[in-house]
Amino acid sequence: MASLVAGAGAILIMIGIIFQIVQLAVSIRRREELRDRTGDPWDGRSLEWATASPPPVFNFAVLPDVRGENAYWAMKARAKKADAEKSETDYQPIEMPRNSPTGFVCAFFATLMGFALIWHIWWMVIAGFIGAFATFVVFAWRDHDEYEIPAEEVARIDRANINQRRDMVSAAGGR
Amino acid sequence: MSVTMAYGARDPHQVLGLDDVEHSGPASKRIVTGFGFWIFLLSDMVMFSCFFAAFAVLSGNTAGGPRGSEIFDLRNVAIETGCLLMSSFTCGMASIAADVRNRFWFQVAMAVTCVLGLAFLFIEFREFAGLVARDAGPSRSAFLSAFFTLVGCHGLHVSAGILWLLTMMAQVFAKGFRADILRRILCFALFWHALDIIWVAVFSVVYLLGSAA
Repeated sequence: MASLVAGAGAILIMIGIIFQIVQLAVSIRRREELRDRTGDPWDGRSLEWATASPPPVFNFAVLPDVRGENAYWAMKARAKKADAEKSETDYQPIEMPRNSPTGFVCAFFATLMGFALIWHIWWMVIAGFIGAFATFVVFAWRDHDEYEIPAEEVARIDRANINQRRDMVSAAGGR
Repeated sequence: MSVTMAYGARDPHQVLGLDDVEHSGPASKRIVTGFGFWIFLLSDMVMFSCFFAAFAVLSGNTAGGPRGSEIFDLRNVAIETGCLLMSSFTCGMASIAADVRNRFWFQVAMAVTCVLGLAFLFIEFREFAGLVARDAGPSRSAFLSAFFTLVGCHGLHVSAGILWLLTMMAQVFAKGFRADILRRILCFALFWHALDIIWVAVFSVVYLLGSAA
C-alpha cells in the first residue's frame, strides 16, 4: 500500500517534469511569435506589468500613483475614463546608482575566506579577509556613486514602450 | 483586513511615519536607507534567535563537562555589560555630534565607543581563551558548542562593528559629513545599538540564568 502511494507520487512528479520540459520546448520553438514587447501581455493588475519587458534600468519612468490594491489595474481604468494617454507626462531626470563590481569581488574574497576557514589555511583566511574589507573601503570611498538619466532620455524610452503597447493593442483589435 | 483598508484609505507613505511631509511622494533616501538597514537587522535578529533557541535546548547537555554556573564569572560579565552599555551611550553622543556637524566631538565620541568596544572584546577573548585552556572549549559538550556559537557570533558582530566604526571615523576625517556618509553613520548607530540589545539578551539568558542553574 505504502509503495503504491509512493509510486503514484513519483508518477505525478514525473508528469510535472515532463510538462516542464514540454513547456520549455514549446516556449523556445515558438519564441518569435510569443515574444512580448509590451511588458503587459496578460492585461495585469499589479505594478510589475506597468513597465517594459525587459524593464529599463530605472524601472518606472514616472513614479506610479498608487491608490490602493491592484494599482496598475486602477491606473488603466482611470486612463480609459479620462483618455489620459493623450495628456503629456511630465518626465523628470532620474538618479541612478552607478554600476559597481563590489558585490561580486567581495563575495569572491568572502568565499575564499570561508574555504580557508574550513580547511584551516590561515594565511588564506587573512588574505580573503583583507581583500573583502579593502573592496568594501574602496567602494565606500567613491566620490561619485550616482549618475543622472536626462529627462529626454527617460521620455524617449517611455514613449517607445507606450507606442509598443498601443501597436500591440490595436493589432489585437483594441481592448 | 482592517490593516489593508486603513492602508488604502490614507497615503501609504504615512505608514513610514512621514505624516509631517506635506506632499505625498517617495520617501527621502535617509528614510529608505534606514528602513533597508532595519530589514537587515531583523534578519540578523532571526539568526540570533536561532542561536538562542539552540542554546536554550542544549544548555543542560554538558556531557559530564562543566555547567554554566561553574565557568561563568559574573564580575567579568558585569564589566563587559558596563562597557557595552557605555559604548551605546557614547555612540548616541556621536550621532548627536554628527547631527550638529561637529567633527571634533564626533571623532572623540567614536574613539571612546571604539575603546569601550575593544575593552569588551578583550574581556570576552580572555574568557574564551581561559575556557579553552581548561578543556572547556566548544568541542567539550553540546552546551559549550552552543555557548561559543552564540556568544562568539555576538563578539564577531562587535569586531565587525569596530572595523566599520574606524572606517566611518576615517571617512568623516577625509570627506566630512556628506549626505551619504551621514546615512552610513545612521546605519552604524542602528547596528551598534542592536548589538547592545542582543547582548542584554545574552547577558540575561546565558549568564544570569546559566549561573542560577
